[in-house]
Amino acid sequence: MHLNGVEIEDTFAEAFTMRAARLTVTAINEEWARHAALAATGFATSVIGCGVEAGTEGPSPYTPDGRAGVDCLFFASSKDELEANLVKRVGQAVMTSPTSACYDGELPEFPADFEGFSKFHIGSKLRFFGDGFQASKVIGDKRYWRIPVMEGEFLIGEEFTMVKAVGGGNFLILAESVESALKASEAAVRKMKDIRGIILPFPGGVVRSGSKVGSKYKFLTASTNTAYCPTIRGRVEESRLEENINAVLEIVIDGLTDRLVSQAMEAGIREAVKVPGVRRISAGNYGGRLGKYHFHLHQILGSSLAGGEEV
Amino acid sequence: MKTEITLRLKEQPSIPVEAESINPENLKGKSLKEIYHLPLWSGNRRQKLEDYFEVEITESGGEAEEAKVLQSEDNLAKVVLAGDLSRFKRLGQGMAAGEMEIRGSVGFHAGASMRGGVLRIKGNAADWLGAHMEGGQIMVEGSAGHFVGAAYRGKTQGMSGGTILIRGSAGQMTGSRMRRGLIAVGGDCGDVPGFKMLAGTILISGACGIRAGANMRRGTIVLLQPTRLLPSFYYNCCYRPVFWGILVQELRQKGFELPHADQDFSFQRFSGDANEGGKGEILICQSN
Repeated sequence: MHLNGVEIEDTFAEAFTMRAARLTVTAINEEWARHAALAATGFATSVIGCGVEAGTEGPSPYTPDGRAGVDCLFFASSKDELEANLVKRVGQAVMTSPTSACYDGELPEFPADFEGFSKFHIGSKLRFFGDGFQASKVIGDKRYWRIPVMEGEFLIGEEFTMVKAVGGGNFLILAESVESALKASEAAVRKMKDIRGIILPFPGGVVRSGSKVGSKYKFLTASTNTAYCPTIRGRVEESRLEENINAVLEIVIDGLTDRLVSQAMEAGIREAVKVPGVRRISAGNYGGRLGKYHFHLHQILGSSLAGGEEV
Repeated sequence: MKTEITLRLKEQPSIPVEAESINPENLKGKSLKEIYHLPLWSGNRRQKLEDYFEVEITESGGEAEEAKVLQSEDNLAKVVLAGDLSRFKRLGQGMAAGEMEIRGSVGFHAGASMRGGVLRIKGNAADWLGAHMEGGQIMVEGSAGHFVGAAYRGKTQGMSGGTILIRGSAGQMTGSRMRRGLIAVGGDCGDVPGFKMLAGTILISGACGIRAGANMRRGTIVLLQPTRLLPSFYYNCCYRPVFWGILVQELRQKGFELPHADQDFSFQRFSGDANEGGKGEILICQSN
C-alpha cells in the first residue's frame, strides 16, 4: 500500500492495556495552570523508567472553579502504580505551584453509566500535609480538601476517576534524512494534538531511541532497536532499513480508547507522508505476543473509524 | 409518559393539618380513590385528603419523553400542590425521590428529614424547613422562617446533607447544629445563623443578624455583607478561597443566581468559635 507515494508497510502497532486518569489543573491564569501541568507531566515518557506516561491536552473546556485550567492525562501499568505516582506528582508539582488547584477531569469519551470507572484517592492522601489544619468541603456530591499553604490554600478533589485505556500505539517514520524525518514528525504531532483523549508522551511527541525486547547484557530487559538503527545497518543481519533510509523516528500514542489511538495514528500518518524525503511508514510490535491491541496500518488508513483489533 | 398529580386546596383549614403523607413516593401507583383516602391529621381528628383537596391526574409527554422517564431511576409522578398551604405541616417530610412543587406558601417542617428528590416552594416556608434533612434539594422562592435545616430540641445534629436554597430571607438559628450540606439565603438572615454548627456551609447574601456562628465547631459561614462578629472569632487573612468559585458554579447550576456575586471575590477569613476549638470559619466578602 502506498500513500502519497510513500510505502505503508503491512504491519501493526502492538499496544497494551493501561490505567488512565484525566486531571484538571487550574490556577489564577492559564500561564500558571500551564506551569503546574507541565511540571506534573514532566519526565513521564515511559512507564519503564518514569512510572507513568503523561502529557497535557491543552486548555480545559470546563473547570469546576471557573478559573483557567489545563487538562492532563496520565497512564500507568496498574491501578496501584497510577495512584502512587499521581500522589507524588500532584504533591510535588501541582501543590507546590502558586494558586493551583487540582480536580478530577471529566471523561466524556465514555458514557456516564460506563461500568469501567474506578475511583482512587489523591486528595485524601495529600491532606495530611496540612498537619491537622486541613479541612474538607463538600460541594454538590464531591468532597474537596483544603490544605493551608504559604500563599493561601491548595484545593484538591478527594477522589479521582481512572479507566482502562490503551498505551503504546505507535508508528515509525523512515526517511532519507534526519531533517525529513523530523519535519514529518513535527507535522504529524501538530495534527495529532488536535485530538483530545490522547497523549504523545515523548519529547515533542517524538522518540528516536526505539527499543526492542531483550539485550545481550543480562541486566537489561530492553535495548536499542538495532533493526532500525542506520549507523549499524551493515553490521546487523536483521536490519529493516533500505540503503536510502538514513533516519527513523517513532511517534508513540497513549489514548483513552483504542478508537482514539487509531484516529490519532491515521491523522499523524496522513500528515507525515506529505513531507518530501519520507520513504516508508512502519510500526513497532513484538510479534503480536504481548499486547492486547493490534493497530494494523492498512486497516487504519482504510477506515477512519477503525479501532484496534483486540486479541 | 410523565404523570403529574395536582392537589388543589379547596378551603383553608381552621387549625393546622399534619400532611406528611403527601409526597411523591407515597402517591406512587395509587388510584385517584386511594389518593383521596390518604389520612391527614387535624388536631386529634383523622381526616382524609379529600376533605381539603381536589385531585387531578394528568399525563404529559410523547414517546421521547416516555423513554426519558423510563430511564430515570425513580419514575415517580410529579406532585403539585396549589393554594395557600401555610396551615399544612410536614409537606414533603421524609421524601427520598421525585419532585414536589408547591404553588403557594407552606407550614412548619416542610421537607424535614428529606433524603432525596426536589421540593420547590413557590411561596414562603414556615419554621423548621428542611430540619434534619439528609439529602435532596429544597428551593424556596420566597422567605423561610426560623430553624432552617436545624436540629430539633434535644437532638445534637441537624441537617446532615442536601441543599436548601432560599431566594428571600431566613429567620433565626438558620443551620443550627447542621452537620453537612449547604444552605444559601439570597436575602437577609436572622440572628445566630450556624449556632453550634458541626460542619457544612451556610451562605448569606444579605444582612446577617447578630452572633453568627456562635459555638460553631467546624463548617463555613459565608457572609456577602459586612457584619460584626463575636469576639471569639479571630482574624486570619484576606484571600480568595478557591472553593468559592466551585460554590458559585454549583449554585448557578441549581438555578440559584447570587446578584453581584463573582467567583473572584476576596474574603476576610475569621476562625472560630474559639470556645469550641476554633476550627470553624466565617468568610466576610471584601469585594461588595
